[in-house]
Amino acid sequence: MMQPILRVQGLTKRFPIRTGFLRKTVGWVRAVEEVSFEIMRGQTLGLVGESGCGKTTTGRLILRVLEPTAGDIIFRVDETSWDLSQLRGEALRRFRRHMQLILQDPYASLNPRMTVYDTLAEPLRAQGATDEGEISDRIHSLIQSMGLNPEFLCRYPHAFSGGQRQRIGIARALVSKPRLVVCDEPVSALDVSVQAQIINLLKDLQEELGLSYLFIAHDLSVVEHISHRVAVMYAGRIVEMASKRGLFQDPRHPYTQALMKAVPVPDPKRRKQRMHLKGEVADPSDLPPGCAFHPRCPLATAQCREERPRLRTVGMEHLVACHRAKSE
Amino acid sequence: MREDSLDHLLQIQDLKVEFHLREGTIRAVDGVNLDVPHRATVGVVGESGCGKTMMARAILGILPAKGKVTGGRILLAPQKDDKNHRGRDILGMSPRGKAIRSIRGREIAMIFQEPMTALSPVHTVGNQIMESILLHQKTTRAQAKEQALYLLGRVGVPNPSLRIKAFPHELSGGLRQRSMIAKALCCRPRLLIADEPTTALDVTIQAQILDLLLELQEELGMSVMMITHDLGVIAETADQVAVLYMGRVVEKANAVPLFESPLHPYTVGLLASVPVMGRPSEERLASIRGSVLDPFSQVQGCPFHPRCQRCVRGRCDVGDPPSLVEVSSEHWVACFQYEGTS
Repeated sequence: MMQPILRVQGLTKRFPIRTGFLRKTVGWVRAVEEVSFEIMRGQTLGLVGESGCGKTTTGRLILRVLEPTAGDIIFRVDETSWDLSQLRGEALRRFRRHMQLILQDPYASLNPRMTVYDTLAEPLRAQGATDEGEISDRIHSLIQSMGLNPEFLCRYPHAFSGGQRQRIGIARALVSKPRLVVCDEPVSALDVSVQAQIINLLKDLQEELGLSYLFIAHDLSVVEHISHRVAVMYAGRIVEMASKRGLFQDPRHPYTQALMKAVPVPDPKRRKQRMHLKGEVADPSDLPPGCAFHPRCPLATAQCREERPRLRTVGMEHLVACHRAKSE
Repeated sequence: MREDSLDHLLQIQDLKVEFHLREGTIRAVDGVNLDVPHRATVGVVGESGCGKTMMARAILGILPAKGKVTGGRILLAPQKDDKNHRGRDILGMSPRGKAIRSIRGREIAMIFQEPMTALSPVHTVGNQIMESILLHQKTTRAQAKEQALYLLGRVGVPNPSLRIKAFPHELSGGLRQRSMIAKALCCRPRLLIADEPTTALDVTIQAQILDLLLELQEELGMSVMMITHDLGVIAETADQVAVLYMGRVVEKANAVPLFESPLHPYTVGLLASVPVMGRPSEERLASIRGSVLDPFSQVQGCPFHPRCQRCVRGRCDVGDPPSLVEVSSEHWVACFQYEGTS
């Protein structure tokens, strides 16, 4: 039976907007609002949306890099459940080995003054490993499964190409044997030919190590390729969530549909009969009433302008937050 | 090719750009031949470091300080009212001279990937558009402002009379890119060079901007050189496509044959490695092994041979790189396995 490794319930993050000498709070940026989802063991949840939709903030909340304003983050390791939103201090620090992060820019995310070996050894030492022989064995076996030459271990990041750096970034995330890896736009800075190598590597590692991924990206085609389930975010909320097949074959939310239509397809014969969204993404510090998408939505009615749609089930494990979406 | 009968707007002939650095020489552009027909969109596609941006900068004479044009010609067709009807060699012009300045921004304009760095942060959007107008046209400030307002409205900036006073940082990425397009098009250029114009934008905004560019191209009757790494963007916009690898054109064709029956192993690999939405596969993506070589390396033979699946030892890795041959009508490829098949 499939078990969730992570259950997120009502996750919310608001950032205060402060101004003036007394730093008075004059408003709130609603970065993430009541986000709930599950990630199954050994599976990938893709989280897509445009810039500013809250997908990166969601990833950081789960890793507890940011403190959530509200909500629960339940993490299951070895039959024990932990509520991450309640963990503090030393307990949280010890827990961190179970979850790791892969970042977008492999040029900025590696310390230029540390050799690859030190970069990889640091997480182990931080987790209390002292046996240098063990550390070295772990690093050597890992670097080989990344498809990197062990000779690289004594070099510095500047000596590597973007793809190699991203492999080092992945190795660093995996060295402490995490259960869940948050991948935040892991391939968007890479060239296409290299991007495919990294996607394949992430898939192979998942199979081999039983990893679970939260895969954050703006590129729908990449997300479709790697995910089992996909959630679409808009202005801080999940507007649609379904299995990969369900979402891509039968998108129900007008935003998801528009997003898919906007992706350019590498086939000049299929130039779009386009239905383009007008306007720009809603400002999370000044959200419109009702459905946040209604100013751009071609289907909006009076109800959409007043009442916020709740996520509801419209098909097999298919959730949509839209008044106009039809149920099965 | 006779200079006085240009049937293309722009002809790039054997263009070479080199960077001489302490670490060695980089051949950023290594003998590129490319024609831009009137009113057409030519897509230039390649991965980072393939020389696509340096080629564009050479056309405008705005190479970085260490970059030098070491060979070739770039011919620009004469304007209709030009009496002597001769193509002008842009590379022969002094990069700071009067001749190139009257072309740059007026006959050939360029838009860049990151409008935040391409626009000046200390001038309002309106002033920057008006600056181009006043520089190239005989007009008053009031008329220039009128024109800037019209342009901002035309490129889809809502509320232009308000936005004309905005600084770039006060605008969203999409609006900034629209403002840059307005600035580039203010003198109705004959050629627009768009260098990754939508790479920094979200997909829904990208679609809007691409549509806008195609619409304006039609309206102004200009040619567009669309430079990008994104094969999807190329497929959506280009009539003709050139694929660049390590400073060389490796394949050149009309868009449909290029995507339908790519010939060069690099183009084939590139197309196979793009995940396509709606065509999900449970298997792995095809990828090209290895990565682009260090730019300082001097490869013998075909520059792609170290990554090529079909590389033949003793043929592909020795001597000069393969030259472009026309394999079928208008479909050119630079690969040893097609030599002698034209």
